[in-house]
Amino acid sequence: MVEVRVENLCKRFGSRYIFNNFSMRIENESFTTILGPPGAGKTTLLRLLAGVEIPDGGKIYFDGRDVTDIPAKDRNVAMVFQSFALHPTRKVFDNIASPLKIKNVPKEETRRRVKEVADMLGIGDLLDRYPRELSGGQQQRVAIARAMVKKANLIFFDEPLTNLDYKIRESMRSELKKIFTAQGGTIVYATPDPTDALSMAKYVAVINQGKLEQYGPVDDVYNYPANTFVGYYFSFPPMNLLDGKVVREKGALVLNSHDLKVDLSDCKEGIKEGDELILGLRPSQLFKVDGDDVVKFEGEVIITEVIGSETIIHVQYNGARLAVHVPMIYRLLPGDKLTIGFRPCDAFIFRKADGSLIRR
Amino acid sequence: MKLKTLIFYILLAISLLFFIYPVYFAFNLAFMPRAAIFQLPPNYIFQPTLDNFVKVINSWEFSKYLMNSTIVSILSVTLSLIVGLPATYALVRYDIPKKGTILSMILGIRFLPITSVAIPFYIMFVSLGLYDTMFGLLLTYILLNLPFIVWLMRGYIMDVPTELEESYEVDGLSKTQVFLRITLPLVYKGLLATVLFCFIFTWNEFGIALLLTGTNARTLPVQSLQFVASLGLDWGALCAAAVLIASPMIVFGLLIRRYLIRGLSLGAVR
Repeated sequence: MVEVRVENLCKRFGSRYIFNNFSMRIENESFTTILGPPGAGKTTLLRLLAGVEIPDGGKIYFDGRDVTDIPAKDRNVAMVFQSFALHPTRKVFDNIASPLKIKNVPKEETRRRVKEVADMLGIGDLLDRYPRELSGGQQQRVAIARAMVKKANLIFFDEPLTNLDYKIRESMRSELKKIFTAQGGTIVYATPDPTDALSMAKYVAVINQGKLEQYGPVDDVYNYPANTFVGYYFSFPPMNLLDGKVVREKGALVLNSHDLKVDLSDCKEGIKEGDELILGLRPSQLFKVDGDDVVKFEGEVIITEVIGSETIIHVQYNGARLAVHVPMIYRLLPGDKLTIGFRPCDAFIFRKADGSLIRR
Repeated sequence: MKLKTLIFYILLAISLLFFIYPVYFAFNLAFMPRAAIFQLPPNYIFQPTLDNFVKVINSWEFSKYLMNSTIVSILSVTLSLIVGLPATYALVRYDIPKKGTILSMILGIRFLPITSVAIPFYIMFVSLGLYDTMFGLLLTYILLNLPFIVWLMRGYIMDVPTELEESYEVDGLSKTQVFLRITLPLVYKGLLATVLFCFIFTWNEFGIALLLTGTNARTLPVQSLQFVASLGLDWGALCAAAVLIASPMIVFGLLIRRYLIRGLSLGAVR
């Protein structure tokens, strides 16, 4: 039940700035994902919020209260670290009970609360083991239990699924969502994986190189990416971005990108002939698209990637490379032809100069 | 047995002989009656006697210098740890400008051959009134123990994951509490090894003690020099003194041997 506000945050390591005047807000009682590529500053941001890292400038507010100079131990937050951070020579019980023991919670209550959380996470029968005797997924649960037992109002997750293998990741995702819904509080979850954000979060903040690219409800950000970076990164597989130019055809302005044409007459913004734009096409909106206005074209297959039960086909058309997402296994050989298409209303149009979204 | 293993054991035996024999020889001499010492060829079968030990203990102010050695060793190692451990921790965990330079300078203290600074040290100590005082000797040993502590403990502390420490900060411990309650217990094997090293160094140290002490703050190794007198070498007594001086360290080393091997070979946490 905490609203987090960050103002003009600065953090540097040596002479390298991770954040320079970074500001953002995290809604009260929300599940917010901090999404960004490795090195974007996600982990540093969480560490600054948790108080284990001290900012070089700027302010951090919890519910309007300035906590910038308050040490981690007094911030009443919990954090799940990427490496799980379990104490190697202490048993699972003691690992989970750690925040309660430090606060001198009575023994009986500690036992009860640890048991409760452990049972909820399905590790109730592992309390007598040492962390090294557990699998990665189990260690992960211990780390989550340790964060939850504290009943903090603000919980940070630093890429909790990154160190797990694919199968466990899938099942943890749905389970985490269930747990978080039951737990309440404000959850901030850093991840490089857009799927995490799409499947669990209510809000998403996309950051890149210490800059907040976009923040908002997950669906809004997904449907209206503010710029090419958000469009490219917050999409799996990444959005196809094709260069194009505005031309005049039969009196109307049209975007021509590698001979794929999109009518621009509904764009109110000052677009004129000769402007350079970028056409954004989601790989998932290219395969087997039907309708009267569909722009159809035939691409030449470069390579086929099968991921799980899905296929990503990379094709080449008129000098452009596109990824096509097919929701089944569909093997094509290099050189094969594949007919694809898109509805103009699904296309994103960005300005080339600054990458900003013009319309979708 | 494979040939490789065989060669390994032969080499091991040769090097063991090389290192153990002098010790064995000194040990032997310490128990030899005076008459047997100068026999040629050496006679290894003799009636052992404690005469040499009795002589050592009676002839000098044994208890006084034993006390000096003990106090100087324990205090200097303890004080070095009190200064050195937090310093090491800070050098590992904090973003300190010119960290590398500081570390090299600390190590640099050990690069100096002690003889090169002997005369300046002596003059300095005399003019500061530190000559022949326990305090002066303590200061010197702390200076020489610090690089050991910083460089050995640095490796062990670096092996403790930062995130583990931070997780306890988030749980509610202060940075100092994390260091004392989480980090130190995790590196205790390395700590024991370091303590033993420093202790042996201080206990056995000869050159500095010889230079900076007179009759007051003298330590055991210096005192054993009295058997190298103008009348000639008293081999039996000298070796008895050596055995007496070395034995506490040998016992200490044997007691913590188990931790020592682990502490030296790898980090504490994995």
